Amino acid sequence: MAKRKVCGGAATMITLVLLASPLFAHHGFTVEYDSSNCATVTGTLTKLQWENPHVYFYVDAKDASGNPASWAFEAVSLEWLKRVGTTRRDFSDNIGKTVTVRACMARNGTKNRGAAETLKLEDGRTITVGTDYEHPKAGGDNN
Amino acid sequence: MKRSFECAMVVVAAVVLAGMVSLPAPAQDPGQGSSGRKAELNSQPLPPGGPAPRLADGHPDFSGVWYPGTTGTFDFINSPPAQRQFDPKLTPEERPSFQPWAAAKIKAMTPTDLELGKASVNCIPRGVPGIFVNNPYPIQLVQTPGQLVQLVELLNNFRVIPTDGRKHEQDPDPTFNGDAVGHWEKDTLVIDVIALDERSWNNMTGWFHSDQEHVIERISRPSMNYLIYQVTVEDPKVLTKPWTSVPHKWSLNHGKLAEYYCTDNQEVPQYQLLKQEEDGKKSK
Repeated sequence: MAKRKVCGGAATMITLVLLASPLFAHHGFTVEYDSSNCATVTGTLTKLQWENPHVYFYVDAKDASGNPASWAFEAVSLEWLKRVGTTRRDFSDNIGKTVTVRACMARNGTKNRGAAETLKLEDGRTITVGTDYEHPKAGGDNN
Repeated sequence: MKRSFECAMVVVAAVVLAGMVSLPAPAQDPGQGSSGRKAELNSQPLPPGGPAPRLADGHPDFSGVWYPGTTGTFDFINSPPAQRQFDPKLTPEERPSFQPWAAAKIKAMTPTDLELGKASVNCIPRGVPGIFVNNPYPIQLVQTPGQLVQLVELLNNFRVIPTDGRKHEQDPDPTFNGDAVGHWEKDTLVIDVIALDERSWNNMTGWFHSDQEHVIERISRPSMNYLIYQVTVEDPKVLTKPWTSVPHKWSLNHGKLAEYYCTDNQEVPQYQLLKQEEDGKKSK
C-alpha cells in the first residue's frame, strides 16, 4: 500500500513539474507575467507607444462591475513586430476603435497590465503582437 | 516485481501525458506573418549557398547582415528550432566552472535579481561575447583589409576591430565592447578582447565577470550563407578554468538593420516593484 502511494505521488510530482516548467519560456516573462493567468480584454484602443525595448498600447475597457478600467499592454520590440508583418499603422489606424486583446497578467499586483499575445481589430484581422506565452516553443529568445 | 513494473508504467504514462499537453502548436507556413501579411519568416536552415567570398588580400570576407541561428531570419511567432545558434543535443555546451564564491553569489540571486541584472532589462549593451552568444537581433559585418566593423542592431551599437595583428592599447579603460585586436589564422579571424565593462553578463542566468576577463573570439565563414562563431572566456577571478563555447551558427540575410534605441524602458520599475514585494516577504 505504501509503495503504491509513493508511486502515485511520484507520477503526480512529475506531471506537475513538466506542466509548470516549460523548457523554452521567455526569460523574463515568467517573473513579470503569469502565463497561467491569461485573459481576453475588449475595449477601445486609446494610445500607442511605438518604442523600444517594448511597444506599449493602451485600451479603455470595463471591469466586471461595469466600471471603466484603463489597461496597459506590452508587446515585443518594434523590429520584431515589423519583421513578422505587424506594422505601426495596424495600431495607429485603429485608435478610437474596438479591439480585443489576448494577454497574460502582471505578477506584481499591478492591475490592468498584461503582456499581449494577439490583437483582434475591428475589421476582423488578428495581428500578432507577442509570443504565444501560454504555449512556449523551442528556439525562442525574446531577450 | 509486478508492483514495481506497474509503478514504472504509471510514471511513464504521467511523463507522456504531460508531454502531450505541453506540445507546441504546429508551425505556420514559412513566410506567413501576422494576420497573413507577407513577412521575412523562414523556419528551415539555409543551404550552404556556395563558397564564401574573399577580399583582395585573400582572406574570407565576412561582410553581410547576419542573424543568429540557421534560418537567416528571426521569427518570434513560431520560434523554430533551426533558429537556435546550436543544437544542444548534437553539440552540448559545457557550463562555465565558477569559483565557489561566484557560484554562491549566482545561487543567491532570486529570479527578480536575475532580471534586474540583465542587459536586456537595463537597455545596456550585451558586451563581448554577449553580442554574439546572447543576442537575438541581427548584426552587420563590414570588412575591409585591416579592419572589421561590426554593426549591432540592438541599441544601435558598433565596434571596430583592427585585423592587422597589432597589440592591445596600454592600460585601456573598460568599455562594453572592450579593447579588441584581431589577427588571421588561415581563414579564421581571431579577436583578442580585454578591458570589458563589468556591468555586462555573459548569459541571461547571472554569469557576471571580473575586470580580468579575457575573451578570445574565433570567426570563420565556411560558406556563403554561414558564419561560425566560437569563443573562449578566461577569468581567473570568477572561473576555475577557461570556458569554450561550441561553434555557434549565424546565417546570411539580404535585408538591412533597423534602428533600435531604448527610449521607453518600463521594465526596470516593474521589476523593482517585484523586488520590493520579494524583500517584504523575506523580512516577515
